[in-house]
Amino acid sequence: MLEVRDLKVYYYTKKGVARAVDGVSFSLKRGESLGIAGESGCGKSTTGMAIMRLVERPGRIVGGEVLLDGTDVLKMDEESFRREVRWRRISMVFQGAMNSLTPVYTVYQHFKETLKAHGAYAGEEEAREITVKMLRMVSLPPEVADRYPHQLSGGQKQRVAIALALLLSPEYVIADEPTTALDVIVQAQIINLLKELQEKGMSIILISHDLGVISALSDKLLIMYAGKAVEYGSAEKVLRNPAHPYTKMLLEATPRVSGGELRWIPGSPPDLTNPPSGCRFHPRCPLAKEVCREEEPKMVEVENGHWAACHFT
Amino acid sequence: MLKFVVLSLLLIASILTFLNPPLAAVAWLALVALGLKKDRALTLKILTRVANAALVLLAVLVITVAMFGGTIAEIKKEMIISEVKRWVMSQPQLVQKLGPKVKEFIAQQAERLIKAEGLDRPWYENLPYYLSTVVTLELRSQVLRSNTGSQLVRDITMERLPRTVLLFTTATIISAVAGILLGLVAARKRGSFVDKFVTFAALISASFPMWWIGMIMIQIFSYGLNLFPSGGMTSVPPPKELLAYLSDLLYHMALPLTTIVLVSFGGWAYVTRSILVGATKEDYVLAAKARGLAERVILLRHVLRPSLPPILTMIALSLVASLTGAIITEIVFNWPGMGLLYWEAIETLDVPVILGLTYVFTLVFVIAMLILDILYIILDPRVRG
Amino acid sequence: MEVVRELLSQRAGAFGAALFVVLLLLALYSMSSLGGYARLWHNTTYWSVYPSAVPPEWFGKLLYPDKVVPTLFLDPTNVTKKSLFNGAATNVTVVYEIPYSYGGVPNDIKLILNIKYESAPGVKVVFIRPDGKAVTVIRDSAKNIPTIISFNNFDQIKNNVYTWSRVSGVQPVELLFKEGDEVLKGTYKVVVTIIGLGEVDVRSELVVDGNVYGLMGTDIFGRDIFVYTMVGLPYGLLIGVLTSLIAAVWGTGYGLVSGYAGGKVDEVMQRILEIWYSIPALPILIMLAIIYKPTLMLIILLIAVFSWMGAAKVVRSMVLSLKNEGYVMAAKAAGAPSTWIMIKHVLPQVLPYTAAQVALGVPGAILTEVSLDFLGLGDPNVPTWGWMLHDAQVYGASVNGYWWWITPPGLMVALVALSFAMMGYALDVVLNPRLREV
Ligand SMILES: Nc1ncnc2c1ncn2[C@@H]1O[C@H](COP(=O)(O)OP(=O)(O)OP(=O)(O)O)[C@@H](O)[C@H]1O
Ligand SMILES: [Mg+2]
Repeated sequence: MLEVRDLKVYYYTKKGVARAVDGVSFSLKRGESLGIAGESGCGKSTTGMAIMRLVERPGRIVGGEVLLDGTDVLKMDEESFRREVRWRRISMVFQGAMNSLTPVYTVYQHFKETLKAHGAYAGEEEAREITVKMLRMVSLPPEVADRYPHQLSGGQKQRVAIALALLLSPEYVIADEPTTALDVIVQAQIINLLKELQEKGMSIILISHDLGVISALSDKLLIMYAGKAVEYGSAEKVLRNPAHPYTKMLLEATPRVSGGELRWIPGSPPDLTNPPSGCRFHPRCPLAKEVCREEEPKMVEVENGHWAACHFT
Repeated sequence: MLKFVVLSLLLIASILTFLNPPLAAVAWLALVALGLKKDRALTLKILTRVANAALVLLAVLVITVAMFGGTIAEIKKEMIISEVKRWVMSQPQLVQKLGPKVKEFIAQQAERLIKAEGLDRPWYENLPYYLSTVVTLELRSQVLRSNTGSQLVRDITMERLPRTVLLFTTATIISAVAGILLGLVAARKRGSFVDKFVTFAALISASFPMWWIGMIMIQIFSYGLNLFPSGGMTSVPPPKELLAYLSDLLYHMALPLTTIVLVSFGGWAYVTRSILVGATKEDYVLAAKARGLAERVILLRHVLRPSLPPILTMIALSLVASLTGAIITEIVFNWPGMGLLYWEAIETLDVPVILGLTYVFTLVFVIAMLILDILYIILDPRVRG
Repeated sequence: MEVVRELLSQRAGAFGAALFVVLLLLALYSMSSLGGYARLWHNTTYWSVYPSAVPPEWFGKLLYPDKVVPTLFLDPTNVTKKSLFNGAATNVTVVYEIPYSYGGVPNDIKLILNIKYESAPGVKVVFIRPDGKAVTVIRDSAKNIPTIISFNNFDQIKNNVYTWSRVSGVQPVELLFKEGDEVLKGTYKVVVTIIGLGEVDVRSELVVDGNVYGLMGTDIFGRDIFVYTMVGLPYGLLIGVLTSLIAAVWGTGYGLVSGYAGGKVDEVMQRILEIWYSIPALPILIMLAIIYKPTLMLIILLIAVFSWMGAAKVVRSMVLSLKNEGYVMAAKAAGAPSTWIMIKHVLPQVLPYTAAQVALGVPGAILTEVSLDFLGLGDPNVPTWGWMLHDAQVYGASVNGYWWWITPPGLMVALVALSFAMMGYALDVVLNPRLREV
């Protein structure tokens, strides 16, 4: 069970404090998958990074808990977190995973050192075997093992990154935009791959601004806007019956195979160092009233297992 | 295993080049053959670089010789004529004997000397001769001599080269080690005192002429405090006993060494810091951290190792720059190395020495760039293709 | 403009810019009120009346306050001209009074005698001390006497003074001004008597060379170091900026073409760049300077020829990334000519980088030029800091302890270089966010 409670991550920039993640909560049973959606800059990646404890200066996790089977991993000391949790129990495929391979090492060397870091290395031969097996899992040929990153295509690098994330069979995998910047066929392959993994019982936290991709994979859905969770619940319910105007607009802005008119959301997300008062969405919301400017809406349960933060639900 | 064979072969070939050229040629050929067989693309790439270096060397040589062929020949001719004149005029009996024919005699003598030096022919006719003699440094100097009295430019240069290397390479090593360590600390503790100091020192490095700092150092420590000698490499005469000689050498080296280190370590530190700061911000460093690698492993394998090529560039470039920068600093400290020799050659217009030295400077420069290129190819798989 | 504002928001940038403005103002001052001194650079006669190689006044006041002697330019207190034998001969007497209340000995005394005569008159110079002792220092025909007579260096005076004092090996002026170890205070007199046939006309001046001078002292020729430090400033700025500008403009053009053209052209141009990189600049520059004895403009060009590569490299990589930007692609698709795209779309993006290259190039340019001058290979007609340091080195300023001769020009070089290095550094940080501190 992975439980995130009231997570707060702020970036302390010269311009001011950017509240990139401001009180986000969700929970995930083993085997369940979560999708996080929202416009660019709403704090999705930052949430993922915070769970991995990878927020770097000028950012800082300023509050909240990340409970992994009941223990708060944010309170663990760095060394034991590194040994016991990071990558072993929760791993991550980065946004722009193409850049997550070090240019001077071959693919195999990346696998080898990861095994070594977790005491799972038992000789060259076995490590090679594992590498080839993992590569096969993401449908890459064995010779990729001895290639350098620059000798691989973007899609191949992405798959290597996924294979690396699966190396230690973690319980949770955070996949941050794993399909962006890839062509449609590769996208489909990667989504299928993630589906397979899910069926094998792995929990996937899928981060994307594309609700289409998310709806295909997730059991639960978290919609973020400007650092806040605005809607959260079972994917089916949220998609069928969106309660927050933002979610509705986001859904309308998602292209569907069935066609239909595509809309976009007017305006742009706010500056996080100086967010609007009350409901952060009110300047762009068609339903906005006086209350929205003055009072911040709380998460309320709209139906069983479906929450939303809007004054008009 | 293969790596080991190639490396040892390389080492053997390099050493042999100085000891036994024919044998070295065999070793080099073997190396190339082995390379072509094992990694064709890489070997070809390195060979292209070598050819490139040779090209540069040739180009610089031809240009130099061409330049000397023109104007310098004229200057030399005038020098010869005036020297002959002076020589004749210093012998009253000769002048008396020649009477009105004295002008003619002078012209004749000068003509003979000019012909003997090949100054009457256009530069391109002298080119093959110059090129072959310059490359082997088998030129004869016109004014300067080595300590042993040899007029061979090779002897004169080779006598000076070790002294320059002694001073400048020592200084470069000291400032490199100090600079790189400081840069490392600054990169790890950004915004700290050390970091600010590094930036400050780098600005000093970039702004002050090294030789001017040298003049000031002499002013303070030699004239003002009378602690160190103001110039030279040893006392005159140098001490006979080895230990005394070494300490005398060290005593003379102290001031120039301090000057060079003082002016250059800031640059080293700053560049190291910039490279490392850039390197720590790479996505793959965060990715390595995410994979649960230990701090130390990340620093060594994912920050330092990928930064090695640019750091090496810096090392090679400053080693080379230290050699050419030596020219003036040696003059200020009266350090009898290649720089001072260059200066003496300029003052006396000793063409062969200038030519030979320019060649040696270019050679050192080009070889350093070549080694750098090859190291880059070996260290950075992206360049290897 | 955005860039300029950001530049100034960086501490280094603001400091560099402020320093630059100060230097610029000083340069303007120097050009408007000291410009005439540039021509006097080689005029040793003009400077010979000034004290040779003396430290700055404030230094003397700090170290030996009661021994300081300022430099005094004196006009005669009394000139009498008598016609003798009905105009057949003339007797001119010139009297100088030196009111002397200083505890030190003057560096030298210089008597300037411009005598116009028909046939060489006799000249007698008597030096009278406050204690009444008089020494005849010169008694000779005018034709044996130089126009500028240095009491310390003119042999006749030396001999006469040594004979009078029965001491030698000490500067004559010291012997004249001291009784034992004491410097005599009071009024000294120098009486010049000239008697000659026909008409004799005398213009003269007496200079008591102090043991300190002005703000920065003098060099061995008596040249005012402050004046030439200031005179060198506009040249220093010109050399640094112009050299770097030429190099950066050429490099930008080169990088633009190379990056934009791509393919074979790019490959060839890159190869040329590589070759250029592996030429050792300083030795080649030195050689060129020996052979061609270049003027300042030519030197600037030559240095630029060896320093454009950095700009070319930076600009090329910028162009390579800009080429794939939407608007450039769009312009291309719309069939706009390449030159137009380059100038209209690519160049404006690249210009800030060129500016940074100009700023970063100035220190190298000025250091190289100073080095050439230092080696005596620069343009001898331009009074630069490099030449000042050259003369300082040649005349052993460092081993003789003339620190005031070495320090100002070097410091100025460093200040100019520093100002640009700081601006360039700040620009670099602004333009490459990766370097920016968080
Ligand atoms: N290193 C940083 N320094 C300052 N602010 C940052 C930093 N990283 C992120 N932010 C800010 O935090 C906010 C959230 O960023 P985050 O990367 O989490 O967004 P995202 O939802 O992943 O967007 P995208 O869909 O574009 O990936 C953004 O507004 C961004 O400006
Ligand atoms: Mg993101």
